[in-house]
Amino acid sequence: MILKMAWKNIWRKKLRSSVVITSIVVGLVGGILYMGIMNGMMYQRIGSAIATEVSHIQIHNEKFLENEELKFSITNSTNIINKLEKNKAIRSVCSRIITTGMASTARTGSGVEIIGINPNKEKAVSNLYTKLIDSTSSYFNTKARLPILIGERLAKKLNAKRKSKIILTFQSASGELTGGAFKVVGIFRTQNSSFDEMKVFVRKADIAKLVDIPTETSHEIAIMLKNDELLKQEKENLKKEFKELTVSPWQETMPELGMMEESMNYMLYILMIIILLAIAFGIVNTMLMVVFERTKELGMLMCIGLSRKKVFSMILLETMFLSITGGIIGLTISVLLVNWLSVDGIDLSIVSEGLQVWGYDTIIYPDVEVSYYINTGLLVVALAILAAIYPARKAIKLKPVEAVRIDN
Amino acid sequence: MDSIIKITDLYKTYTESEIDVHAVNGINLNIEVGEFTAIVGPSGSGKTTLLNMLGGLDTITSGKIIVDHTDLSTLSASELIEYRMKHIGFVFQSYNLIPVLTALENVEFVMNLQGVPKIERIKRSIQLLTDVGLADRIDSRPAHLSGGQQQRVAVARALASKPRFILADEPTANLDSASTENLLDIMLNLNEKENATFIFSTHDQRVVNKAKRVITIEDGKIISDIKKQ
Repeated sequence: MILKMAWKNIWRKKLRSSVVITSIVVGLVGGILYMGIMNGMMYQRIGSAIATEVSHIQIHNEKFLENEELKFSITNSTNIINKLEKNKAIRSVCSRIITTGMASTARTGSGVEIIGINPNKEKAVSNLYTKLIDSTSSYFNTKARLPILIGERLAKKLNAKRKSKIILTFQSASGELTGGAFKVVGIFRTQNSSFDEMKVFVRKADIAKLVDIPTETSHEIAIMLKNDELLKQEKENLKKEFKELTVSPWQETMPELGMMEESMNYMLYILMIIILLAIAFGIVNTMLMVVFERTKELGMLMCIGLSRKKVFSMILLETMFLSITGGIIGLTISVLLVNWLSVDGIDLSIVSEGLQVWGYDTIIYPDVEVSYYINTGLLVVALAILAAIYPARKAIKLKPVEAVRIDN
Repeated sequence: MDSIIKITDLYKTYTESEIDVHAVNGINLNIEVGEFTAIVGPSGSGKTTLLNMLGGLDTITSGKIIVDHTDLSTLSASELIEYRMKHIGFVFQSYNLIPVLTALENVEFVMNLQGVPKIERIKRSIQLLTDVGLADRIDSRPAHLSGGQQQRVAVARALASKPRFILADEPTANLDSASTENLLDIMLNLNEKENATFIFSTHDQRVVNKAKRVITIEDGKIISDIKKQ
């Protein structure tokens, strides 16, 4: 009977209850959608960073990351790659020569990181070959003597086009200034415009010859695992196996993304708690009004024998019904909206420049984990209980004989 | 006859602006099973305070109210709630039905609190609503009933749990003449049929005329106690 009364009571003031329920729905949908967008942006950024820029794991000479000098190379990289290729957790491996230098055209110059790759092996690790923007671009499928791939932003800066000649100058292994005239065979555009401005890709054999180091020398071994879940275990395994080298998972290569992944969930839960707390104050206010308006009725109920415990339960149930109704509607709308948007995406091309500087896609596909919906649902229940306590205490403190005389 | 309520040297004193006001000032009274008693007196005479103390709604300053060998002053707040639920039926001046429940559910309510099985409580609720002439309105909410009909539901609710006595505070104050006559006839009928004990506080001469015992209070004291034959 108390359950039935509580449910009927919340519909006595339909407009007021609807406003409370709507506020919960709007808060939940807003919070969850924001969470989905932030998660979507983050996962897309991490995904593209792994696929294009850093792969799952990189191996370097332990001094290379502190000082990117040619001499800090992985000397026995061929053996290491052979070992890695036999590892069942690893999907693909490639090695790179890395040096820094200056890329110049007749018009201007820019500092760049020159990455020497084996195009065929690189394809299995990095999806850079899918990022070429010009239909005439080729991924080193050319007879040009010194081909080079450059980013769209660098191309604009250097005023370079396909087939343009770019002079790369850099230090050789012996410390002498050297260089070569490279021909642009392709221009790429990734989600990260800084990457597009800073990195140029050449054939490993070409750069090895120019800097005068053996072709099998590498500064970086990039590893793609069969799936993301293997990373934690495989990182540990490789660290044990190659103690003299630095084994870095993507979280260490791009610490800002690692930190973002770690802290994002906490931040989003804090945001949701703040939203729900704001709603809770609205619910407390509404339930206080309910108690004040129904003082006479509550007094009568206590007169005819409804215990204080049951009065408390009734107010608690009314608050929970209001909150849970809002919660169910809010979560349902959120699931539908997030699922719909996760297919079609949200087009943020209006702010594309700002997003690309930080490496984010302009189409965001919201991503919300099931556990977040469940935890948000539990938070709504906790919120309802918290919001009910004060009004319910007010109700049970009423003196029946006085309450029943009040004219509401 | 058996005495159901025994009041001895009952006092209720309020302090207003540092002056003691004796709302009930030394009342001694016995009420017997099956009485149909009206407590009358001018406003402020203490009749509502007396009723509240009988109902365990107000504390006693001194004296005793013994109901069926139970001294009300010894009961805690939660025991008083249980005492009211089990032993007293209430009829209020402004009906005070539960607006979200139907007439039937309102009558059922206290029996539900007492844990009476559903079939039994529905049977008794329908019987009582038939007795008060509302058999055709059992599914109506209070808002769809007239004042007189609501008060009849309230009387049915008060009797539903077979209480030891029914306290009615100015039950006819908001009713027109026809509804008052009708309600009084119903209550008298139930008083006889169920041997229910009714105690009213009232100003209404029509209630006084129908009452079998009339106790007049002034300044918190009984000034007359007339039992009609």
